[in-house]
Amino acid sequence: MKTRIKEFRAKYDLTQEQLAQKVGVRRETIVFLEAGKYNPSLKLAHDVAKALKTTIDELFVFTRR
Amino acid sequence: MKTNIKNKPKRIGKDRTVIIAGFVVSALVLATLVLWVTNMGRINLFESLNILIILFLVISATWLLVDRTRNMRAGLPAKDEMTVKLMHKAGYYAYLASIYIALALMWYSDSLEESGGAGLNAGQVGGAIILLSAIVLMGSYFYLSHKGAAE
Repeated sequence: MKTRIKEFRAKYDLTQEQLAQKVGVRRETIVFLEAGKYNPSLKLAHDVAKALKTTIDELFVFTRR
Repeated sequence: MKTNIKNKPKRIGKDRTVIIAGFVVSALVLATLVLWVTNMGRINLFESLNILIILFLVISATWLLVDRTRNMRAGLPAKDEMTVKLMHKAGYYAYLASIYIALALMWYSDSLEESGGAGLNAGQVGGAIILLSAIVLMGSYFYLSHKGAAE
């Protein structure tokens, strides 16, 4: 799964830690989300999208393996 | 659907209690270990292995607690959905490992008896299963959290 979290973070000038604080998760979770190594739950995907003022399908690009 | 943000104050209080309890348990285990070692006299190989395993578990548990405290001080949660998933996966591996450890110990005890020696008693088998599966739990948790492999 590819994500555009880094791009949106840069748009709103947020660090990984600031985004983690907004969403209410640990910084490591944001690191793995950004790298596309962790598939978030629908709730977490919603929270991240809301924090970055966008939608889930704008933020996460799902690809079939 | 509730968000993480709304539950924050309640969760922080609960996390703080769990962390303090964790530090207290670690200190008690360490104190018991020190008392045990000082009153033991001569230490054999099996006992020194037990001491090393307990020390490894106490150190790794303390590292985990320090990491959680550091996150809490930065205004972040001590654990989140990813750490919970990682712990579930590590627990699954530890459960599987405990079955194989029990089988291996039964085989080892039988082979000791067959060669004329004394087999392992129930306390030794139980203790070894608990300690070795705890090692697998902590080891796989650290490995999985390093890799970010929660699924």
